[in-house]
Amino acid sequence: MRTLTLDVLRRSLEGVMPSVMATCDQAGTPNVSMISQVHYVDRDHVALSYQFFNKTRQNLLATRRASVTIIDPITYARYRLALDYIETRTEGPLFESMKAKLAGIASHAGMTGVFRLLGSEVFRVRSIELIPTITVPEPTPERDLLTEVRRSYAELSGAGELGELLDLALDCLDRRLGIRNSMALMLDPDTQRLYTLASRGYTRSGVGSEVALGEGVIGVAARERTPIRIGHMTSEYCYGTAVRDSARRFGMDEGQTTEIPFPGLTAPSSQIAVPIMGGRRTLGVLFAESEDTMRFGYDDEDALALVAAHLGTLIMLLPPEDVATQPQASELSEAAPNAAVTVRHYPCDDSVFLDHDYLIKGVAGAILWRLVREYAKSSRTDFTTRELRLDRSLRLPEFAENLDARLVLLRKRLDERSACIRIEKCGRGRFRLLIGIRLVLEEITGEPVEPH
Amino acid sequence: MSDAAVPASPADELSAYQGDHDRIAVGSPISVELAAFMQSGISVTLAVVTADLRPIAGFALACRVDATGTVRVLLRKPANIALINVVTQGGPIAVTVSRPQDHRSIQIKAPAARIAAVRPDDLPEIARQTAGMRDQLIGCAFDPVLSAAYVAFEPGEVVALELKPDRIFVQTPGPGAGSELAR
Repeated sequence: MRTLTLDVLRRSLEGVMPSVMATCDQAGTPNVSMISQVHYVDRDHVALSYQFFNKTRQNLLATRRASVTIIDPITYARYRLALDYIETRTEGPLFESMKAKLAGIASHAGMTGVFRLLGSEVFRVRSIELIPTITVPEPTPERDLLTEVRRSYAELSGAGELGELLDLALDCLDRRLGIRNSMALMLDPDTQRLYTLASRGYTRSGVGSEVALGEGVIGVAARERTPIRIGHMTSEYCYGTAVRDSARRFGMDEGQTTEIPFPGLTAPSSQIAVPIMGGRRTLGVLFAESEDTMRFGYDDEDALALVAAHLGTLIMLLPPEDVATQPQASELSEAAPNAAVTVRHYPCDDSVFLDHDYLIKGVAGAILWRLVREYAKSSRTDFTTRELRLDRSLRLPEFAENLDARLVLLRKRLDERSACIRIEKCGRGRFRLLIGIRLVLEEITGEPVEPH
Repeated sequence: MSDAAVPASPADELSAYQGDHDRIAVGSPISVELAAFMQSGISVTLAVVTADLRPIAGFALACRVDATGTVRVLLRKPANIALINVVTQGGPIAVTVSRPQDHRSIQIKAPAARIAAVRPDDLPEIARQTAGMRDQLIGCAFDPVLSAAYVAFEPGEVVALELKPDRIFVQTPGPGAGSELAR
């Protein structure tokens, strides 16, 4: 008979139904309780949620043995696992992944604030027994995820620059994996914040919106460098609306906020965030969400992790200078004769406003300010990425993809604003500033005012 | 949780039990109220321990408490073969009843249990209690088909375990969980 392994039982470890857990003390007295979470670690290990110091915990420390039953939420097959306790982890990727999942389970069970993860108890699986029960046949899957990932790989390999690559990746998630709402965010290594560079399935793109490291599933996935998945959304992992009022902080006029709204679903039920790694560096996060509960399972996590891994490799392989096969022909919005726009720059955070509307800040803001000053001084419109890289005043982070990402961000923000200013590529490592309106430049050099 | 009550707390359980002296039988730690709760159509799980100190978890369909304080746990034999074997060899047993909608949970322990035949009146009681458990799960927003499958059984495969509990513990999640209810 074929030996069962955890790899083929992962669906039973989603925590859809509570599990039964038995332990015993050294005198042989049994203890039985319900547990919310049996988490898949690898082929031979599971982790259980340690939430309270109770008899179960005392027994584990004393005899290090447990028996757990789990149920497949699709076929209703049940299994009994004999477990040997190894250790308890109170931090790190496994802990954070379980913490997020438990928060969702607690929300679903009406136990938010009661279910709290104190540790991840790691067990070696000694044996797996199929419990004879009444089951239903496995339904035919809607798609073969592995095949679709392979096809996505082939498509993505054709992308020539970062913006195109990320847009294509989200397009593949939609067409091939059936994921309608997704985002790709890049990590700013200096500010330790993630900024949205591509999104799909939302009424507004939210390009440029930011998430702090450690905030929500996206921030935790980036900080812990591990996929974070939640099947029942809870406020604990929602993105806070409290964004620092940097406008007031830096003495700007009221209403001149530099916050770009996060584009996420109003009422998501499931979310997943997978880090995009470039070697050992965190480049960004691939994020997806759905209004359906338990939308993303272990197999979806695998699929997204493969796409994210491929993205990481492709981003690292992109040439340091943007490559454009041919110059683009652009159309600028028609501005009225003698119309002008005031470009305001705040050096304190390099935020740039077009008249009174916030456009961009940080490195991308500094780049735009440099370009428009050059233009105002000498009517120059053609620039190279090389000169930006060499300009120390721009304070560019070390790695190549950071400049590319900022240029993509800047281009998208300008495009979205339908401003009479655009940038476009015009050759290898070259780009052009297109100005269709008279510019008035204004630098606001007031001292920042700290909020009270 | 869609339409559940406020979660029960271990402290509520302790104070309610301590103020209630109405026992199901003389010498039994089970109060009349607890007996009614145990038979109200909720989750029934159990555990035994093998001679070499390996616990075995199991799940039952229903639980009955008679006027002598004997608890009859009704379970599917094919799903609990190893557990039943341990029971026949003697040794302690633990049974936890838990209500999904508010997580109110009680664990009883007995030094031993014995295997007993299913009685004619057990089957309608199993049907009633499993229907109650199914409805509890549906009330907690679980899929109705999954909820029904969770409690499915064939009448011919049911066996009874009889035990006289000597200890009762509150298992409801929260501070004080695991406390022994005073006799």
